[in-house]
Amino acid sequence: MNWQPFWLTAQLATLTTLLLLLLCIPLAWWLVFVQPAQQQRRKAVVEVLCNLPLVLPPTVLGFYLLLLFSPNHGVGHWLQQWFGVRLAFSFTGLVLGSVVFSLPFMLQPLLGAFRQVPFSLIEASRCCGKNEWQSLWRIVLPLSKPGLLAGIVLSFAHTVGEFGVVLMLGGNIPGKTQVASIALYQEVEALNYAVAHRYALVLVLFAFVVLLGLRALQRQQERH
Amino acid sequence: MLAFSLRKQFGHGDQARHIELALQLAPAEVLALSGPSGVGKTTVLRMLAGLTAPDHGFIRFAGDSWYDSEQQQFRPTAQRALGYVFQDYALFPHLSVRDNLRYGQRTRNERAVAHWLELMELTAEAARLPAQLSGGQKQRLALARALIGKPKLLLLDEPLSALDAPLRREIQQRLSVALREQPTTTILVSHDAGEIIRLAQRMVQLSPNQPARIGTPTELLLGQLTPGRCVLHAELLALLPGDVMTTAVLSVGHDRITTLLPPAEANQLRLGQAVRVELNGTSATIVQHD
Repeated sequence: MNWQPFWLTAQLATLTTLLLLLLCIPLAWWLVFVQPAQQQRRKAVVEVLCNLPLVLPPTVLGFYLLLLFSPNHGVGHWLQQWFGVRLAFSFTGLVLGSVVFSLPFMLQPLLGAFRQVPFSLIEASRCCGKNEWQSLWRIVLPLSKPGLLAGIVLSFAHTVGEFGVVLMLGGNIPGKTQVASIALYQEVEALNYAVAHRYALVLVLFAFVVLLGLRALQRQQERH
Repeated sequence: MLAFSLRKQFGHGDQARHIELALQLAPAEVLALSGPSGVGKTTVLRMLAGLTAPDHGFIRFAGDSWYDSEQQQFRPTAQRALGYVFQDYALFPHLSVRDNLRYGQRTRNERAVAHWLELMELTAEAARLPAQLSGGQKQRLALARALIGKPKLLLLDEPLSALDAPLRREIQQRLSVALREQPTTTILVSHDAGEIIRLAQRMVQLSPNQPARIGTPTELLLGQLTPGRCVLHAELLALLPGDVMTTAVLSVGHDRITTLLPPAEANQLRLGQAVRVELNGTSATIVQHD
């Protein structure tokens, strides 16, 4: 069995999770704590847009991202022309696609956790002379630890299990875009079931361990 | 000196109400805000803190402008150097008592933390979480956290309403001591006449859609007290004999009040004596003395 797809999968999932953390923490802060009584309509639209990957078939998302990243259209053309960056069928494009596809898996647990933090604590923090960044770092994130951990675990696991978007956007280039789920698919296509079994088993074991870890986190939270 | 003039509209249609208040507070003055529920007492505090935006007006503190609707100026809460005690205390549940106090500081000072822990008798609880404290301890921690940052303005939103009478009295005394030690301009929202008389030099009584009444606590409260409901400690300052009755001048909280006594009863009193007075109707009666 070739371990290269698993290594690529791990890189993709790690990068995606890190980018999602950087993107979703400020986004969740804005959705929950910035002028909570105002901008409701705008916030509802943003939240719905972010949740679209939950219900859209991955191939639909992959198709639109492929068009967007294509060197013959809009953003892809502009990036290629000005920066020489090619997103379609590249690892970078795969990471960006995964960020879009896994966005709700990070955002939803974070929103759930942030909404549990009473707004009076943010106001108390401001009255203690602390700015928004200090309130986020010292009050909101420590109180949202279970949601934060759930978001990290779910985003990572979801990226590992991604297939449709990866196939549409990255194709199947060994060492570049061939992640574990795609390698498994290729082995099945080639009727190479013994190797496919091994790929599948590793993915099943990974999913099992992740869900077990998530359950342990939830139990720990319940005890507190 | 704190000077402000604030206007804010509430609700819609038939439910629409507004609050309009203009005041000046002397440095270190304690002002009480009173009035029926929903009249906007908390909103006044929140506007002063920058947690709620006023519709119109200004707030100036010691020459600094905190808010000015004409100039479209608004200083964020974090830059107003204030202490706020919320009705629900808003203690940080994941931080220990000591860390809650540290969080209230503008600059780190461990000696100040130890001092406030001692002043509020929380030293033994320093490592505990707020959930492990009693109501009175939580209240003391909230007060200490608001004061440890040496605020220019202290805002207290019904800070003692959830406590029983003996505990309320104890915290009032601690607050008095803390404000003597660290004189701070303070606005206190309260329904408790005794608390207002003990702590405040002036009070504002808000009524729905009517101009606010401003005066000393006894001026505004004497006529509204239910007999037997408000008994306070006082000190006899002077006895002024008259033809028929003697006038006793008493010091109650920050206020002076007078009451009439038969000469025989007045003869049993001496100047400086501690007495208990019951405020009722429009007058005060000495109900107990040493």
